[in-house]
Amino acid sequence: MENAHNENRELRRLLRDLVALATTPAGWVGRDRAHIAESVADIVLHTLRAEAVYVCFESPRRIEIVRNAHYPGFADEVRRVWPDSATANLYIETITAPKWPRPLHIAVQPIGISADAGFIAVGCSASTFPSEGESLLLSVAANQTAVALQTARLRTEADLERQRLRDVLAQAPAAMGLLAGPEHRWVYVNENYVHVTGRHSASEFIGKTLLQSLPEIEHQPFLHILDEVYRTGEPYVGREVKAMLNRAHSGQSEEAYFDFVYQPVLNAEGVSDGILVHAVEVTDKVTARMAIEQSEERLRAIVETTPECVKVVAANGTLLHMNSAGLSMIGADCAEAAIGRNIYEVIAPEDRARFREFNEAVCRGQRGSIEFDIVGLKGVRRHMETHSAPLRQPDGNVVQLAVTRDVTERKRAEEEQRRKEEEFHVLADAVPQLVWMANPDGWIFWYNSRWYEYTGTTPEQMQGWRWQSVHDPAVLPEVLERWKGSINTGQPFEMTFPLRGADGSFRPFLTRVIPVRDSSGTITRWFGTNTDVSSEVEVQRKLQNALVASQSLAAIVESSDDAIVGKDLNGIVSSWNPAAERIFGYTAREMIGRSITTIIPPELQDDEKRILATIGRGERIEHFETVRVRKGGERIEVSLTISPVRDEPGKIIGAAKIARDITQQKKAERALRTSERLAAVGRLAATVAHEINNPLAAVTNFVYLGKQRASRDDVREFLTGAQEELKRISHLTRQTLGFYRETQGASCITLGSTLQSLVPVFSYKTRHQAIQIRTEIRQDPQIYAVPGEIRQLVANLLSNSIDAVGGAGKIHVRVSASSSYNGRRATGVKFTIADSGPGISLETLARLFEPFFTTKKDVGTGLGLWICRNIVEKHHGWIRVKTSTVPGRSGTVFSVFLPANFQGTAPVSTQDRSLRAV
Amino acid sequence: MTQMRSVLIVDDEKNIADTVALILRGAGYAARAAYDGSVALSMTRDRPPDLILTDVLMPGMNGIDLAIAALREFPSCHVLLCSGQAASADMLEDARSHGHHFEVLPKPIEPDDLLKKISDVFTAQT
Repeated sequence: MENAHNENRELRRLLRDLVALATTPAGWVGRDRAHIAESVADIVLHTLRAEAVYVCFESPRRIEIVRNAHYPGFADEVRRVWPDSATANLYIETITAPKWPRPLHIAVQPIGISADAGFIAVGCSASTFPSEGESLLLSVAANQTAVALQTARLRTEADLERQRLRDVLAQAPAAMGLLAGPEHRWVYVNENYVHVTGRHSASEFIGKTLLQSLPEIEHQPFLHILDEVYRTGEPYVGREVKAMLNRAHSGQSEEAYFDFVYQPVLNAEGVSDGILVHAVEVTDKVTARMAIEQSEERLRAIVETTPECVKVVAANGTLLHMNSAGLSMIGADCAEAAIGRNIYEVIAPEDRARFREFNEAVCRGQRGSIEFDIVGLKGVRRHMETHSAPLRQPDGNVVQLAVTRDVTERKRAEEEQRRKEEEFHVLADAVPQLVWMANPDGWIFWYNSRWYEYTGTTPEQMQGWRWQSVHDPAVLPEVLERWKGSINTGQPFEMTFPLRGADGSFRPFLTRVIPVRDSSGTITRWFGTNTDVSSEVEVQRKLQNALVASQSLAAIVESSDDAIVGKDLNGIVSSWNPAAERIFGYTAREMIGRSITTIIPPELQDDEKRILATIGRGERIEHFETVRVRKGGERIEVSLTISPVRDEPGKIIGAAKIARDITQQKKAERALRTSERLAAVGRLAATVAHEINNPLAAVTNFVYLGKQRASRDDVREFLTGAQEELKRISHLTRQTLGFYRETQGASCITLGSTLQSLVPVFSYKTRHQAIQIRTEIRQDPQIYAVPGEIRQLVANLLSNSIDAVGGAGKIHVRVSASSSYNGRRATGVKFTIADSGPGISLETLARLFEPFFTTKKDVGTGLGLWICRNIVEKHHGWIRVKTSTVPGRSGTVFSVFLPANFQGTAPVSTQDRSLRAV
Repeated sequence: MTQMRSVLIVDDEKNIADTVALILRGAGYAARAAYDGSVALSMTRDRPPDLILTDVLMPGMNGIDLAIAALREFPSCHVLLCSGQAASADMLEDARSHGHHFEVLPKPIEPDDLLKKISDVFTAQT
């Protein structure tokens, strides 16, 4: 009962569906192909009481629905038996399949005119199937299915189209929206619309009226326009329409400009359904244009109000525009009186050609300035200055845009200034000083002619900062520093510095520079003068030099080794330096104010009168050697140089005396003279001795022979006495003079070889006396010396030692390399000869090297060691003696140092090199 | 039997040469005297002496040249020089630099010293 009832109800619903399917395709709207296939399958299954249904839609994508609870493989069986899928006719067949409970009668109905679109296959075991009614029903179902599929396909395409449109709208750069109905309710807005209105999402618009969504536009014209568009169906186009939008959500509306279209959407009856809104924001463009318009307005105002003439002139001279200042300059009462006329008419005739040339040049694209005179429309002449630039017109023509100033007054003032300056230059050239002017930054733009005359330069060599070339490079840095300091601070400059004249010599100039200021206190230029102050500087320099000279003179006088004494013409001492105190023994305090005769010996008092007379004549006394008396009465020898002293006008007021103590020098000179005398005697004696030796030898032999042959004893005694005297003579000649040589040049020798050649000479004597001579030559460096003199030196020392030893004893001679220091280091050879004699007594030692001093009363000449000392000193060496008279340890050692090259060794004074006895 | 030693004395001073010859003869030597270097050399060639005693500084051939020439021909001959002048030292130095070593006696020399010297020369030889 329940099932039957349900079945009936289900059946009714299916019938209704079928009717709906057959009558209203719209009922299928929204169903897709799979859905349609299922619906068709179910309807067919139930309405035809079928046992199996197979629905297949071929294209564009195959969809198969099979209802076959007891008939597996139904679809395959249908496709196997159905012969012609190309026909639109119903196909009927009976199929028996092994797994089927019974055979099925099948009917296959193509959908539409071709089975390509698909088909519906129905299986039914009833033998009557399909009846006519069932065939018809199946055919209707197939047709309706074809309609439903077509609808579904169109529907899908429409959906795609709509989506595409939506995307286009959404992405459009314009703000777009769709309003529906007379109340203007939003159906659609794109993102751009949301954006330009300052909202956040489309949901703030959809479903709401325009006024609800944008309440700020209530009193703006948009609602009224929309009403009109909706009412008339006519579109509205707005250009740069201002809208006040609350975009910042601050309650403060802001200004925005839009180009927009309100396009009515008409339905089939031509009546408005809604309005499509299309808007583009042009706020930036409008704002920019308005700014330009404003600035143009301002410019126009400026041009009109500027006191200078602003004009536009065509290439042919036609005046295209001129501001009111310009009009008044040319004497035009109104613009019409001037605009359109040729500007050349008002240019002064003498300037007209030049101005025309200038105008044409500007119209060719050049910029420039020009000064010219005009004669105005009312005949008034003015002097003008124009600055022009080319101006390209919208039509492509280039015209002259000119700003012209009336400089009549300025030119008059300039001429006045130039006249004044010329007057000033004439004046400045007349003054003896060097005068110049500089810009506030120190750039010198003008010098007077005196400057160029003095420095011998040209304006090109001097302008700006080039004046540095006539400065002293040593002083220039300070000049620059101070001058730049003045420029920076505005302080006047004052300094004396040298400037080089045309002749190349520098003269000192006192330079003063003062700033010239205008009424506001700003420095407009610097005004400088250089005054030659060489005469003043010269005086100062002389005074300075005199001061320095007197100071240094005082120092010299104080530190001099010579006595420097000032006295007046009466011989009264006025100054007395420390050396005078030392030499004469009187202090300055004692002598100043006393007569100079205090130090003059009584017998020479007349000298002073002579000296004073000579000085009084203005003559000078030089190197006058005389004698003076020290405080203690001791006489000293002095060399005097006395000069007159003059006052500034040149009058002799006293004398300056320089006295040098030459006592020591005189002593030395006397000693030298003695030495020279002795040397001469020695040389003479030596020469004589050589001549004596031969006769002496003969006499010796004769006496010997005589003594041998003498028979009488008294004769033999006489001859023995003669022999003794002959021995003394031969000793005298041999030991002291025998080896003396006349002048002989120096050569390279060695002391060792000299020694070795001499020792044999003495060997007979030493052997005779049982004296052992040991020679030790450690080193034997060459020395440059006079050979004969060195031989004499060695022979004398050897001979002395042999004599000192007397009897049995020892002599040790040694030669070695050595060096000595006497102010400078000298290398050379050292020769020592030590004997074991009795030694030398202290008294003897003190006089050892004196000439004619001898201990050998019988045979000595007293010249041996004196000659030795002279030879050693001549060779710039030294000779020293050590001696001991202590019994048992007595002996004497002579040491001699001879430098390798005495001629390269500085000579030392005789006094300093006296030998040191120890 | 020992043969007498022969000595040739050379000195441009005739007195010296003759007196020395006398002194030497007195001492047992066969002494001859010559007054010139070249004469002395030819005398040496005629009859070579055992010893030549010669002055150094002489006109013509000097003592050193004579000694060198004589020794070249008669190497066994002895030579003694005597000199009273320093200049002879330079000549000796020059001779020594050429390999000739001569003993020099000072002039004047004591005859006793001379005889001892000559005696020493011959003693040293034997």
